[in-house]
Amino acid sequence: MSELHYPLETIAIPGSGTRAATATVTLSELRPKSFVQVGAWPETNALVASKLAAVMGLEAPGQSCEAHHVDDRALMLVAPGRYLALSGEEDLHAELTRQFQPEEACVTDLSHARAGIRLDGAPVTELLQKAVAIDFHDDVFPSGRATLTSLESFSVLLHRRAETVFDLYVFRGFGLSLWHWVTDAALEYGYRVGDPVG
Amino acid sequence: MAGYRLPTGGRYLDRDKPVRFSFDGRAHKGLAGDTLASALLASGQMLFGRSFKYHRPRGVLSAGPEEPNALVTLRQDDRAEVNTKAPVIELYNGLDAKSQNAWPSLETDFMAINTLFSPLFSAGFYYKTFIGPFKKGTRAWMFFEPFIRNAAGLGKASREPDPDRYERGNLFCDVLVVGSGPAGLMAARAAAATGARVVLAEEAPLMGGALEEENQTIDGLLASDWVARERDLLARMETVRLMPRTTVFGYYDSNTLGAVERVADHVTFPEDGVPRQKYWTIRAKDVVIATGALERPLVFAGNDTPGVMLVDAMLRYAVRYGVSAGRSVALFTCHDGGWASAMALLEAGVPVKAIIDPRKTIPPAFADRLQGQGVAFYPGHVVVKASGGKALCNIHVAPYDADQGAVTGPSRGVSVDALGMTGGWTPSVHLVSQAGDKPVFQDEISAFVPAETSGKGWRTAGSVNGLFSLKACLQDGHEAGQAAALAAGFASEEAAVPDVAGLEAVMMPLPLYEVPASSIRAKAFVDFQHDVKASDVRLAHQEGFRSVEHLKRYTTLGMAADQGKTSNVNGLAIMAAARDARIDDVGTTRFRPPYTPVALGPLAGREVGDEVLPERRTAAQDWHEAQDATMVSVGLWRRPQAYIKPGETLEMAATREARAVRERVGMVDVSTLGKIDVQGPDASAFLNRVYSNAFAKLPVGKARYGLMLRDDGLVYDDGTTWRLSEHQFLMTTTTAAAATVMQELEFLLATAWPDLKVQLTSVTDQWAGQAVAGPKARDLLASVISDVDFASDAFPFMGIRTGHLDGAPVTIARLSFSGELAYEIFTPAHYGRGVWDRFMEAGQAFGIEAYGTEALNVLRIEKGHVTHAEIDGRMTADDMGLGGLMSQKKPFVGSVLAQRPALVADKRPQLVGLISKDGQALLTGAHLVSNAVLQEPADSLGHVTSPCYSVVKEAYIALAFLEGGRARIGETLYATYPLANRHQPVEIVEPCFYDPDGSRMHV
Repeated sequence: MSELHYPLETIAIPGSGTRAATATVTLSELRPKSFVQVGAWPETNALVASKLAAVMGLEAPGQSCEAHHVDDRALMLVAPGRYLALSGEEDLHAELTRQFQPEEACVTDLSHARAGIRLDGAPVTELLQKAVAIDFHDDVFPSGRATLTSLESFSVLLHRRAETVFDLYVFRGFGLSLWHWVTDAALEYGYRVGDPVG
Repeated sequence: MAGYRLPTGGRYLDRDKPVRFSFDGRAHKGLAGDTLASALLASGQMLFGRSFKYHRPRGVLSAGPEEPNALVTLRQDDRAEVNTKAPVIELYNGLDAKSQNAWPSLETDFMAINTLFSPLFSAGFYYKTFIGPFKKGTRAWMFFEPFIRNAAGLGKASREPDPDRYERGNLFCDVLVVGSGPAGLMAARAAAATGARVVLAEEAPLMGGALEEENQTIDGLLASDWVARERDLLARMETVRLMPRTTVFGYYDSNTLGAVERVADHVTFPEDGVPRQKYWTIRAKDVVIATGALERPLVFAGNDTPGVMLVDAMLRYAVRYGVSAGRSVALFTCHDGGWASAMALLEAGVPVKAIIDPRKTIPPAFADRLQGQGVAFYPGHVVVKASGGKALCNIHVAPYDADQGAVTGPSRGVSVDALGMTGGWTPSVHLVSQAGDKPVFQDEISAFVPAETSGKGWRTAGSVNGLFSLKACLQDGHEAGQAAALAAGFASEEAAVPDVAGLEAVMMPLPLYEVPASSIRAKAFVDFQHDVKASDVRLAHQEGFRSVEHLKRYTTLGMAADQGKTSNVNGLAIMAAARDARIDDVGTTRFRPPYTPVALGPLAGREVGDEVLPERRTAAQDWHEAQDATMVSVGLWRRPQAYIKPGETLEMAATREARAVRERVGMVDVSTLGKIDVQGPDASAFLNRVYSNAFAKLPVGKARYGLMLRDDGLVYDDGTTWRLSEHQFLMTTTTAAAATVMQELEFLLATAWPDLKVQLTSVTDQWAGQAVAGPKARDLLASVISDVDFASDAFPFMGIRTGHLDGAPVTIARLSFSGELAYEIFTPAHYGRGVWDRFMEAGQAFGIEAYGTEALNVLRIEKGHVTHAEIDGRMTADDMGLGGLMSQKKPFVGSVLAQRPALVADKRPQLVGLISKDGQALLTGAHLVSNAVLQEPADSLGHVTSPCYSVVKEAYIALAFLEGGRARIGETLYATYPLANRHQPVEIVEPCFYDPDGSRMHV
């Protein structure tokens, strides 16, 4: 059986880090089994949102940048009519392909197309703002928001799961460069590498 | 040896903590809390640097960022930073600074000879030299340029990479307050009280601005104690961020401001991971500009002599650092503030011996208090000259009639070793000017103030508005803070402004912008940093450069790093006098960012070295690196160029790899190809419009080569597109054009055809891909892939099948770029490395070799296949021999303009093959000519696009474009490359060198 090889598996070694003993930031590779994009048509958006919510068991995001998650399931609206559904189950793409006719929505499997890092710790907003031009104040970008933005030279999906927990996804090929950036930006706080998530 | 450390005082000092540092290689001792300037002054150092043009000896003029003279190179070698200002460099153990612009030493600078040639270096020197004194135009400049360039410039930047860390950051707030003097502190307090998020930026290490030297009390507290209380209150508020050592240097559109925080410039080495400096992009809903005012020098002969400094600087050195600027000090003032400062200086222990004031009436409140303290008063007098060379020893004082504006009697000498001068205060309107305000002249204070005290997203407060009363500044700051918070959406309640008590000077200076020249002739400087004299301003006027913008460029007054902080008003006033105009009518130039110089480090941030650009990696990248493959950059990808073995050249390796494909089987990583998921009910209609050839009827399970044109009819990109289902296609693009093709297609869907129900998604990273090519490719695939019948009939050319390889799902297309039997195998990327390894392992039995882009290139050149070497934005489909792909049955992007006469003309360049007849390699870019001799000029008939060594022809071959090329097959021409002295005979052949009927890939 061919093994899966994740983009950061050779570098995001659990337990490693810099000044790990006093570190205030934990970094973990994200390995969602399913990362699926669902694109609705303008006239099917409401239908798609409700069907997605039912499949995912999550509240439907009503407006762009809204994200809902429970455990390893997440549903976010990152552009008009464009939803991302993440899951720890492998068969989400197949399930969503069954759910939606082409006249309703386009379903694209991106489960292998992304590299992801979770950042957890008090200085995380400050760390991200070294490159991300988003106001992380609670009134502007609270927990439960996700957006496509830029971080240095990367396009990045940024999902704020909690006050100090952010998930970052980039194109798979950029994974190592993102890891270099994140670990470099985390130097002053110290970081430790946690177990992979997913 | 004028300056010295006072026995007491120095609020910033810790007298128990000595700090060792060096200046120009000589060891010095200072105290914790000192600046480089204060420590050097305390040690008696008068000479800090040499001036820009004349190399005149210069001391320290100021105690802040306006310093034009004491510019030093801080740190050495790879950490060197030039043109740092000694008064703002905080002292630390081991600090190493060097003076600039002096050779062989600061004391003995041979370039001081420039002073003798000063008539040559007058204003407009460069312009005049460019014009040239000789008949032959710029010949003089051509001659002098190397000498001038050698002598020009201040400081020498290091050529070594800076080992320290610099960062960038983004900051958001409701109210940004710039400056923490009385107005800034009050503004921050008032805004913070509303609950607004406040950032208070202060360029100095400590908050308070001029309050440190303030003798009045606030709320019954010493001003410095009040500052400490307010600072602590603000520091405890979660919504307030105090940013000392942070200069807000630029005001840009949409309330975006640039700032530099000197995070660790005050320590020997920054801690691990901590940047030395950080560049902040601050986005504020509203900004309070409380940048205060800078003291203005007076213009008189010898005013640049070391020992002459601003009065405020003298006071700061005394109060903050316990340093007296001299043992016998005179003050030259034209307003009451100078008298108040005299009192404060005496109180601090500075031996003030004389006060010279051009006004006849001495302010009684101060005069009374100064009586009996050994201070000589010179009312109705001016200083006409300061002299002493490298250290002030004497000033010449003469009677002055302010009504006539003239010196009315002979001068007499007064022996002093330090002179404080003050012509009043100039509000720091730089940021306001950058924000769009056009400052206006205010006669009462003889300086420019903002025309408006508020604008879109900003307001000003305090002495930047020309307010110099402490009470007024506090009130102004309070109101600005409240207004800024309100503008940001935070309502406030009324609050009391603190009480102020004490004696205060009224700031109404006598407008004395230049002491009239007396019989004593010496240089009187307006802009110290650029060596611009009062006479230069008048010369500019005489030569017709009378507008302020022309004056600035012609004389360099107020330019560059200095931005006219101390020189602006005096220079404009002298020009106004020359024009016999009001200063307001002369106006002022627009100030530019940065307010103070910004080092390159924080501008670059962490985008240095390997991190300048991110790298894009395929799933098998580690494998390629483990084989020590030579890599080549394609966009952000790094693709294996060849797997060179010991003893091989690149060409030898490519030949070996290509031969493996022709004879056995090879594998190349094609994960980098652009891949776009095209989905929706109108997907096939969409593709039929963007490709020049038919796509509407492509069956499910088949792939087709497609050609895209630009709307101007020229070829844009090519690739294969696979129909995965009725409504889903997988489009592949070239690696290089993936992003631009995606953007172009999105643009068409969003603008040209919004009615089409199609969605596009980049799936480049979803799929790892490899092309397996060669006569044994089928056998290799069949040996490892299950669920697929590889028989030629069952899996025909351009067919698509899905199967599994050790459980990993694979999608296979039977395509060939190499001309051999070949397949592209795509697998979800996390499986990519495993699939690659499995092929390599199973391929050993078939003699597999991995091949890189170089061999890939050889194979496709032999087949006459085009890439972006040929698709260069100038060629039509027919030029490339692909005219058959231009459908005549349907419209498509570019179909109309492709019919333009120029694009269907007879003499279009056409793709041909070349064979080198001299057995030497051909060069990309060589031109095809008909003349047999290199030296003879000849028209270019075409050019070489893709050369290689052919394994099937065993000769150097190339693809080329040749005018009317298809009719010239069999001719001999010459590939000429004069830059490399190459001129080679070539035979023109068909562009397909190998297996023209395609029988090898259709087996």
